[in-house]
Parts: sequence; structure tokens; C-alpha cells
Amino acid sequence: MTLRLSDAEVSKFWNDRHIRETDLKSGGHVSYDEATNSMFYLRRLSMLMDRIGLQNNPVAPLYLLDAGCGKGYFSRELAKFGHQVDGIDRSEAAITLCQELGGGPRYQQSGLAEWRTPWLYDAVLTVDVLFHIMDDAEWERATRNLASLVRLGGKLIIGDWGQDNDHVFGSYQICRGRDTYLPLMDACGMRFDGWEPYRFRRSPIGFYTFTRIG
Amino acid sequence: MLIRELLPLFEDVTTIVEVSENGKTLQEQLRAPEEATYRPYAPGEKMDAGTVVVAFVGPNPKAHTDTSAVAPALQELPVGGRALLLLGWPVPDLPYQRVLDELITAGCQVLQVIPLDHAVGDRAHCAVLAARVDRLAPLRSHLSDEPVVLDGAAPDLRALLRLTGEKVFSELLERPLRRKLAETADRVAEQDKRIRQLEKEVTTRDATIAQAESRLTRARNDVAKLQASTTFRVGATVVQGARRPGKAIVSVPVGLVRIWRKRGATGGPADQQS
Repeated sequence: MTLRLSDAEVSKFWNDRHIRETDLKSGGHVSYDEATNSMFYLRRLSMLMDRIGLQNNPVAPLYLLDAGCGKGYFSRELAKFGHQVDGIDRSEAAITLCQELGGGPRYQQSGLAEWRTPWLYDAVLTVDVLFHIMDDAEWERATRNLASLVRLGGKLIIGDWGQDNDHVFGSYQICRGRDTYLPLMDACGMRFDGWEPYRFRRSPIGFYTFTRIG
Repeated sequence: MLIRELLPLFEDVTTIVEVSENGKTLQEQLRAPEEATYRPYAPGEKMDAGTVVVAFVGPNPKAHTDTSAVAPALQELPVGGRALLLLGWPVPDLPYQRVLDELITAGCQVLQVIPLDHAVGDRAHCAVLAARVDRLAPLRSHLSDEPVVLDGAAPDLRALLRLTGEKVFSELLERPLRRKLAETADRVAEQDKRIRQLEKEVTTRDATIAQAESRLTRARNDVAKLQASTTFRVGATVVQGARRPGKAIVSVPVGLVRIWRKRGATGGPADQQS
């Protein structure tokens, strides 16, 4: 049986990794070099654009949440498109760097299950973050909370694998599959729009897209 | 979104009816499909479910159509007929209630309101997609840029509960926000006023400083001319001699000879006067 890191250990692991690793590698794929990670980020960004839509308007910007933003790559890029972006991450080191880099988004240090806002988001995205929550109850709290932040007609975009079952990779990654996501999201009033793989260097991960319909 | 991207959101369009003075102000901007008939609105002329009523509604009578002028066309739309209204008000100041009143009176459901690109001055700032319905049409996401669907399943109870719930809570949150915005606007107006006052004061001070600098320059010129004059230099040489009488017997004649040799070198009126 593989030893799972506790929630606190995972948080420490990521904070240390954000301090230790380069900008893209720290939140991207640790096996890839910076250039490959750059492609990997762009690939996922373009997939996010497909899901969020290609419309923007400076007068009426979309309100987006990048949950588990790491060093803020997606937050900054989405803000460049004119969207109003909140970025949250549990890592103090990552949020400090994000705030130094600026670029438009507002950043807060927060876990995914704890984030509260009076305004609902047009889209909430969490890119390759949920499978690093090792505790199932914490994962469910986080996923439910993120779903609750999506307004009617808005979208929840989750990076995870598209198999039916769940699977543990090493000590700090549990991929949850359709059998776990779909019933939970249905109970949250979210319609399953589909899952699309990243199609990047054999990555088994892709984006789940849900739309709030009730 | 661009204006020309709006009509493609409606499928199976056979006729486009424009409500305006000449009935074809929008034809080019909308890039109306060639297969559809484009005509001005004429009261009583039959419309079918393939009809889209278009109008550019707004506050400027020279550029826009009045909301009340669109109402008869909306009311004549049959079920399934659609409306595309361009609005000429800036989104933050949009008095949407007038438009909404007419749409609801005509039995039209607002499907989506889309902010438009290049919205300045009298141009269209946003567009309303609406349809004449006899039951609630499927809710359309504000993020959607897919063609409008009217004949899908009506929203279920859960969707309606969410809709009304979001409305109730967002209205509650709007109240303090509205107050905060009003207070902020007042503060900004006050600060703008103060800035204008300060700018005026700075301008006055700049003028005073410029005058003082001009006087100072003139005074410095006068001093320079005085110091360069022969009278001053002779006087200075004599005074220096008086201070050191022991050396005066040599220094005063030498100084005077130097002044005499350099006569005319400094020029200027002071020299000429002395």
C-alpha cells in the first residue's frame, strides 16, 4: 500500500516546490524542462479559451476563479484577455510571487474548500490541482465549494483524468474518474458537458467541463 | 462580439424586419444573409416564425430608434419569431427597464444580452437576443456563442429555483454595492473638484513665480551692468586703495591703468554713460 501524504504535508510539499522550482516547472510537469512546460501551459490555455469562450469585453469582463493558481500563469494569461480574475492558492510562496508579478489578477492565499466570495463566477477553473488532494473528504469539500461558486449558466473546468475509476499515483496524486465526478457534480446542479484529454505527450489528464443548470 | 456576428446566432431566418426611419440602416452592419428577405417594418404586414425583428434602440433620436417605436413590431411577432435589439446606451448606464417592459408586454423572452466591441458614443454598446414564446424557452448561458435553441426542454424546477435564488441574493448584495458605488462616485467628484482648485492655484503660483523670476533676472542684469561699468571699477579700485593705504601708492595707479587699457572692452550702456 502506498503511503499517502496528509493534507498538511501536501501543502508543505507544494510550498517548497514553488520555492525550489522554476516558474513553469513548479506548477507544471516536474519531469518536463521549461520549454516543454511552456508548450504544455499553452496547450491547456488554448483549451481553457475553448471552454470559457472567445468573447471578452472591457466594460463587462467575465469574472473567473483560478483555483490552485500556483505561480499564476493561467490567471495572468486570462487577465490579459480582459477577464477579471481571482487567483487562490494555499502556497504562501506562490501567492507572494504572484502578487509581485501583478498583471491584473487579484490573489489570495486560500485553500480550495475555504474560498468565499459574495459574487458568483462566470467560470471556475482548477487545472491539475484536485488530484493532489489526497484526502477524499477534503477533495469533496473542495469540489463542492468550487461548484457552489459558479453562477447559473457558468462553467466549472477541472483538470483530472477521464477514466471511470480512481487511481493513486505515488504518494501525492489521486486521479478521480467519471464515476466519482459525475454523480457529485450532478448533485451540485452541474451538467456534464464532456471530458477532453490534453493530448500532450501521453498525459492521461484532460479537462472535465460542467455547466451550472440548476 | 461584433455586430456582424449576431445574426448567425439565429438559425432558419427567412425575413428580417427593421424598425427605423428608412428601414435599412442596419442591413450592412448586420451582414444580413442574402437568402433572407430584408424589409422595413410596416404595421400589420404578416410575420412568421422565421422573422427576426431588428432595431437600434437608444437615447439619441438622430441615431437611434425610440423604445416605444419597436413595441408594435415585437407585439406582432408570432411565437418562435425572434428579435435582435442593438442598444445605444453604455452598459454601465443601461436603462434596461424600458426595453424589458416592451419585450415582456410582447411576450418575448430575453435569451442573452451581449456586450459589443468598439462601443463608443452613439454606436451600439450591447445587443439583446429575444424570442416570442408561449412557454419558457431553454435558458441560454451568457457564455454561449452557439446558435439559439428555442424548442429544447424548458428549464426544470431546480433551474428556476437557482435562477430565483441567485436573483434574490444578488439583489441583496447589490444594495450595499450600489451605496458604495454612489459614495465612491461622490468622493471622486469631490476629489476632481479639489484637483481643479489645486490646478488653478498652481497656475496662479506659476504666474507669480514667472513674474518674480523675470524681476530677478532684470535685477541681476542691472547689477552685472553696474559692476561692469568704469565708474564702479574706478570706485572699487579707489576704495581698495583706501583700505590698504600702504599698497595704494602702487595698486591704485596700476588698477586705473588696467581699467583705462580695457576701456570699451566690456561695452554696454553703463560704460558709455560713465
